Amino acid sequence: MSATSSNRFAEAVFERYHHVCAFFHNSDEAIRRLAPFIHDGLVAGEHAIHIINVKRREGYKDRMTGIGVDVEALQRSGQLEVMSWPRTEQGGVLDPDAAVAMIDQLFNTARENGYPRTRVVGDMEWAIDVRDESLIALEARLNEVYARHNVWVICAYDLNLFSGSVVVDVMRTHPLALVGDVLQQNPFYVPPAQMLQELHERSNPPA
Amino acid sequence: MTTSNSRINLGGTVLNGDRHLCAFFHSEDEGLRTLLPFIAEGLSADEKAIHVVNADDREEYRRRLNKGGIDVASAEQSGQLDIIAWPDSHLLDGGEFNPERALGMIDQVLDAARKQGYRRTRGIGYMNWALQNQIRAGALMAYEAMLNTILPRYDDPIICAYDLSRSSGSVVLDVMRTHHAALIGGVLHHNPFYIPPEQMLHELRERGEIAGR
Repeated sequence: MSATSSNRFAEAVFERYHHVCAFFHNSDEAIRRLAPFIHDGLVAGEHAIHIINVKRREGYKDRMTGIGVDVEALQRSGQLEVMSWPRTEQGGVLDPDAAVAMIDQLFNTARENGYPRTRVVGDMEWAIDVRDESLIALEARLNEVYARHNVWVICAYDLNLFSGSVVVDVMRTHPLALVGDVLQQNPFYVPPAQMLQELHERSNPPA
Repeated sequence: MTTSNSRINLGGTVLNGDRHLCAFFHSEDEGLRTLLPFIAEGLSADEKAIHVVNADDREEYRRRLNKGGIDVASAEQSGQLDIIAWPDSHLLDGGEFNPERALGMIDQVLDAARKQGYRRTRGIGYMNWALQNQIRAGALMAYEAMLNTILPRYDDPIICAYDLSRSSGSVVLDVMRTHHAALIGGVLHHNPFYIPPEQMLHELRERGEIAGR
């Protein structure tokens, strides 16, 4: 594997914070920008979880092959897990407790299997039918899970699929952001409890 | 050049050197609630105020400012407050928004305010003038990027207020990249995602959103 390592993902901020939002205009741009992050983890013997919509699996495999990643071999060895997000409940509402438990379990298993770290790349296309406030509440909640594991999680948002309102709230729920080709600590991040409170007030405006 | 020494309070902080600011709101009420103290502070300090609004919204905007405690009629009569309706026909070129003409107009009004003796102008652009009038995102973002070449000539804070219910994800991200600071959830933060205008224009050309040259 030819690792085009990039030290932008090794910045100190990444040691402190584990949850990144990344914004792209299309899948090609996404894979180009994320390739170094994916490579570095695999080369270092870390566990990888890629969350990809079932309908997008073929394109995903092609793009991974294009950057020198053999998806099938890595899946056989167990180093890479390619999964879909569990089906959304009726009405586009997610169950954040179930999601937190599921993610916790995945990270625990990876650690028990001896992996020093797990790198997650989530193609957020799976969430386009999820209600905005439900998605943002989940993003806020997951910060607590990521904080207690040795993980780096990148949520990749295609800008053509999400509204301005969602993009701003995504900025507010991720302590790090990849915009263009620069990973930055994100000053717009607000603590999960504050975000959840604001979501609650938005859906229950004072009379 | 005389510049004002008075402080500019915005979004819970005192503005430092950042002058091209974006603000994101979920509703017009939220927007005005956040911006009213900034507007009132400038008027009390005898500064100039230039507000750009969507043409159809001008009367409604006057009413809302009045309700917020601003004496709109006297501020307009004295020339201290200009409420400008866009897109003005001068900004259109064959029906399309022409960013260079809009820049020229901004340059002109800021310069005129200074010549009238105002030490500072506080500008607010309510971007519904663009979002509600089918102005192409590429042309709008080119305008936002190029404003950064003009504003350093002045010391005037300019806020571009975006209604999130009318802004696409792509526009919001490009706005983040063309403003020195951003007001989100009522709080102003310096914005590390800002990129220089040439880089933004280059990217817009690469994405095919503006014509190459």
